[in-house]
Amino acid sequence: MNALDGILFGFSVAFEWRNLLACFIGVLIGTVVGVLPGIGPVGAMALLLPATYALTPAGALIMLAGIYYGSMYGGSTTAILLKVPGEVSSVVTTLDGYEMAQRGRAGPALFVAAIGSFVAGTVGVVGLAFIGPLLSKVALTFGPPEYCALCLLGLMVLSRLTDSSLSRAFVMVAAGLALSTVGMEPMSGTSRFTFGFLKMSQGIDLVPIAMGMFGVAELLSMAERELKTQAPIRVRLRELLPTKEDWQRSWPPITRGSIMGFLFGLVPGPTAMIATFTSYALERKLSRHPEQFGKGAIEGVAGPEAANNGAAQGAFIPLLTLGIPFAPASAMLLTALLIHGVQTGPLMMVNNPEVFWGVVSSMYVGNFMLLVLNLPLIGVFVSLLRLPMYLIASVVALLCLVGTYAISNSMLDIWVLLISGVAAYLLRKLRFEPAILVLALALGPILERSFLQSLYLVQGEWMEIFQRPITAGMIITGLVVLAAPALLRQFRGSAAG
Amino acid sequence: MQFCRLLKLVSLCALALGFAASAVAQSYPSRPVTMVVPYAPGGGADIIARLLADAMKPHLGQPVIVTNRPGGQGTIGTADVIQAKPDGYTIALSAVATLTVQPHRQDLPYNTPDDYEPIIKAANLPIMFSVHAKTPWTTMKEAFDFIRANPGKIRVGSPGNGSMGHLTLATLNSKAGTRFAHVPYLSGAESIPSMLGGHVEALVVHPPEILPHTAAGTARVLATFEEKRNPSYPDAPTFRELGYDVTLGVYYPLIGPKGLPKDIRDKLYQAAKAALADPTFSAGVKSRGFVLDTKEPEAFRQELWASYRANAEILKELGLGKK
Repeated sequence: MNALDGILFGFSVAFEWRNLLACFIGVLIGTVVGVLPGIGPVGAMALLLPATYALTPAGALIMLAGIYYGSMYGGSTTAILLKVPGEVSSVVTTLDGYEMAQRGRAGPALFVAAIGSFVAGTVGVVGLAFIGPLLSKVALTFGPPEYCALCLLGLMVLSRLTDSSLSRAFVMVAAGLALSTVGMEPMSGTSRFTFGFLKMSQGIDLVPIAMGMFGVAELLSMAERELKTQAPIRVRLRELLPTKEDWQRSWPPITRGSIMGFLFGLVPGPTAMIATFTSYALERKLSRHPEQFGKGAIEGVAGPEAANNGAAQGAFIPLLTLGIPFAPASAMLLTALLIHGVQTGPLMMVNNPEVFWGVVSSMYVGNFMLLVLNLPLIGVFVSLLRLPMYLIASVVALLCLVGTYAISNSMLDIWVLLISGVAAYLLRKLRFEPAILVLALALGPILERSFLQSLYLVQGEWMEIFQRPITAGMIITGLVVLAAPALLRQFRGSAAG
Repeated sequence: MQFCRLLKLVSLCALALGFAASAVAQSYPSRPVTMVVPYAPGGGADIIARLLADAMKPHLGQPVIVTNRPGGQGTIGTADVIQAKPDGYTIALSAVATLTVQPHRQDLPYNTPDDYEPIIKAANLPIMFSVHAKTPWTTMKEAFDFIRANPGKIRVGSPGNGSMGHLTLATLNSKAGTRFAHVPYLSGAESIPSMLGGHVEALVVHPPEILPHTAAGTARVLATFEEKRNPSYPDAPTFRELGYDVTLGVYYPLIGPKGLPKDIRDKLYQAAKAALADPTFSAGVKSRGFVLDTKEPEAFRQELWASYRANAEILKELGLGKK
């Protein structure tokens, strides 16, 4: 079956009324889960898995997949409105999204985020259908040394993320990496820095840190600002929609973000996150107004949001074509397939075409549903900002506390939330960027694990790691990113002189 | 009418107070039971737990809800359950390495099989030696010949340091005098793409993970660490047949907190036993490469003790125990 026949066949599956309903329920739940921080798509999918026993395997996967990519749409909402990133992949969105909201442009920010998500979703599905099997082979060329190099590249891009000085950025990267060593050493299983808490041996949970460093820290700054009474932001209907200029500035980042996210999504690890901040760094570099980044540049919302959704779609490729889950969410989908008795793996496309093509085609349908579902909600969300400051602050506090507790019903997480909130408030005063710390913390465990695995692989022959073409390429790219501004200055200086 | 209702309430309270002990067992289960899986979704324990939970429901009369609580190689979720209230509403589907290997490697809230209540042995999951289809070795003997001539030149991925797969490979190396190089991953699922991409040549792996790839012709199973040949791979000899007596595998214990009342444990045991005997359940489990092997609670405790002692020996020999 070629891709076109497959998609048409898939639509015949996706448009069965039961599957259409399953898709709708999935994306609806996904939207809710995405908007509310704390309980993520994986938790929601685990809870709803038993509810899919009554469905056909294709229907079950359509619904669960809907929850997954649906949650990617809503993820930016609280990040933009309240500076509460519900998951690590929307940390970058807070940088400019929240700034836009503070300037009364929450509407355009949410609008562009939704459109960016839709475009990236569609690009992802097309890629999945037409070049998926081909790309899955590329994904396999990534072994531990390549993940390790990818993480290193990520860290180098990260230190150029904002316009804070390189030395300040390095301090944040180092702090994030240091925090990531809390917990079990991945290879030997020795517990480190757990101070007797068994729960700490699984490491510091990222979501409390992210919500603390943004949500709670922002509360503290709000309290500070509140003393100088501030008028609530008034938003007129006309201002809900992006202007023509906004569109012109958003299209290229959305396109680049979609493709980049999709390619990053193929590779295991926290690649959705790497895709978001790489897209942000790239847009800042390419923009004609780099000085606006961090102060409400629309490109800084459009690119990362598209990248995030592109990566969510890309992650389906290894799952559907090889039966390999590269992310917790796709592991959940794999479980669903196994429970429903579908033989996963390379033969799934042949043996269960209705599942493969049904899910792929349902993603077109689901992405469209999500757009229709999300656009009208923007008005509602933005009107929330008209509430007085003290109410908004209470909502933020509630979201952070309940969301954190909901992750694993642990008081320890609440303490992590509060401490990181205070820490980030102080860091900001000292002009350090907490976003870098959070993202480095997320990369740390993968970096450590893949580095140790690489050492096992090469059995002590260090140079072998750098002789692998992909690894070498990525490390060189990273060094260029790091050195480019200094070199350019040098070059310009000598040209002028 | 009002009085009647009050009377009912009072008598209910009296009943609840007076016969608390026996009433609990008689009315058990009066609400859904939580089955904790201390691993991430998608692995062997998760699949068997979800199938078992679904099949136990009609026999228990209450739904069994599966919750994943991963981390610390299964020790975190397992310790949570062992320390939970022993009322039968919190049970865990753990794995042999978490219960009988990890206590030898770190200090945990539990140590020996007397620190929790085994309910039933859910299933065995064999370990097999598999290679990439593009490698030159078609039989285990060829692989042995190669590794003897080139020590360390076959890299074998395992589901993790201290996993049963790792212990099995290390035992094989020590009994056969070979040097297969060990590369630990975080899970079996994580090791698969690394072999498919040619980053390691071989894997010690479980059937649910490797079956799709042997079916697609991208991997081969050369031998298994079972007592008899595996029905899915009738051509692959056991290592015992090859002259190396290494028969280790993974099994999945359903356990409850210490002090779980005997009658509640028996209710759970009966429900799980009936579920395991259910033909659709057993067919589903077998098709994924699990081997059904039910044991009643006390006999099972003895098996856990045997594993606990044997693994202590292996770890000591390998220098992987507590420092």
